[in-house]
Amino acid sequence: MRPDRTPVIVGVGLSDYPKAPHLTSHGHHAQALQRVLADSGVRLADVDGYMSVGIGGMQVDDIATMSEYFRIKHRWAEGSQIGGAAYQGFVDHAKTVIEAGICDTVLMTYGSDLRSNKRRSLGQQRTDQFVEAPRCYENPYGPTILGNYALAAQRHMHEFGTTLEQLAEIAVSTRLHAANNPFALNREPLTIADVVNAPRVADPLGKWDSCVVTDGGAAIIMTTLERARDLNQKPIYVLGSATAQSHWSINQMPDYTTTAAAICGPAAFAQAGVTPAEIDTAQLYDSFTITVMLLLEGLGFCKRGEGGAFVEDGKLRPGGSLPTNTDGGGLSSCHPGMRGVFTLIEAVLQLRGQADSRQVPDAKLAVACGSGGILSCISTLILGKEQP
Amino acid sequence: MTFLSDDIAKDIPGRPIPYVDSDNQPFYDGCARGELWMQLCVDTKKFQFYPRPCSIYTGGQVEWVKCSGKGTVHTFSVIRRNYPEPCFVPFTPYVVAIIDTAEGVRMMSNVTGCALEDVKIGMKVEAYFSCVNEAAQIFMPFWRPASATD
Repeated sequence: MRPDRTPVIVGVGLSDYPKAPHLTSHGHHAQALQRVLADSGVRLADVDGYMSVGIGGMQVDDIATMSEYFRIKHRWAEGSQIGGAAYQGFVDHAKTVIEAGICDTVLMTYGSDLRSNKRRSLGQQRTDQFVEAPRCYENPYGPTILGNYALAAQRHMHEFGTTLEQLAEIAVSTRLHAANNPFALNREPLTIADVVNAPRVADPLGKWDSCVVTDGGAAIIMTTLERARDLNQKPIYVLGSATAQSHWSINQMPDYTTTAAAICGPAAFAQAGVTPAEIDTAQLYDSFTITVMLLLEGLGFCKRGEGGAFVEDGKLRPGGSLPTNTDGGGLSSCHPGMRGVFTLIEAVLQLRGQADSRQVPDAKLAVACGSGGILSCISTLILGKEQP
Repeated sequence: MTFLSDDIAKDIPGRPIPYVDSDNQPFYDGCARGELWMQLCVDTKKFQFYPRPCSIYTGGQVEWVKCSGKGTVHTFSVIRRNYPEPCFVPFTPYVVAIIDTAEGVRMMSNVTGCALEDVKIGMKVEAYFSCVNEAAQIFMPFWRPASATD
């Protein structure tokens, strides 16, 4: 009988977060690597595929530099920079590569010292310089990252009557989950009034609509079901996966209230043969409150424009019908530049039953959705604990 | 009431300045003449922005066309704090908007020349052109409420 090449996730590792002044960005990669090897039982020498991308750029944390850093003798490597969707995209692609026999064991690592290293920041750098196309069509007008997301929020409120209180529920439910995670950056109680009464930063959004800035790193290992039988953890199955892009710069967004989740979400669900109603827990990229609302709509948890009504009954909270961002998310726990990989790891821990005090009872199906750019590139994974 | 002054459209020390290249020179040359020029797909007769040397609809040819400079506010944000670009901080609060041009394409810009409270989605606006860097003589489009005669 031929070996079972069904691709599975066999290892996850998180480096120290949310504040880790003792680690460089590379140190986060390294610590996460050590932890994923210990978690999975995989030997580094067996890794023959590698995927990594960061916010440091060429010669710092690109795929070739990181391959050298860990001396990985890869037969296949990928470092597509699609921002916060990158690691969902990696799993989407690694699945095919493992199935096809191009390589057997794929490692993914991420690391960033964004909070502790004051030399770097996300977004436009301060500059007196000329900016090249296509940045020249935005940066000279003084946009901000939060302001770019606010363009979508403003339009959503205009078209559908979505309220600040409904958006605030996403910040509040996430904070309630963060209270169950001892590592989360912000764990103190937060109310809807706190969120809507906070000073506006970029109308209509304010301080608590925005993710935290932290340090952090993560690693994942995928291999074949055949190899997984000799490893430490119960394998997690990638039941469905799809990636789609609608734009990159916010000025090019075709529809300010629809993301590419509306394309890749239904595709991933169809591949998995499950519906959103069957999902036990959702891990959705939460750069800002509006991001979660648009992903919920795009993935099909509710109809377009109905995200406000969908969330306001508290179903995203601990004990709700769709516990979402159960580690405290980017809004309250950990957002070191690109959060996508962390949504993926939380989904795996929930499906393994290893999520400690934040465990969703009997979680069998999870969605992990990454959003990169400004609501631009979306990648969706449907993960399961049981073999399809 | 907060009035949105056109000071943000002027030469601000530290402002990122568009780099004019062979793809976008007709656009910025038009701005310097006080005209909005955009590209039209030769095959589909649809406009596109930002400038590219090929059509986003077919991959085929484009031609430059002088446009109306009329538009409406599609969506906007009021920027009250700006961390990454200190040069804009003295101008807060200011409005960053996505403009629907009459030609059917969108662009980002600032809306000025009215009360902050009067900026609304669907508001009719018209383009004006301002020199954002005197030394390099770079002009960009900005938008203000459409004149009453329209």
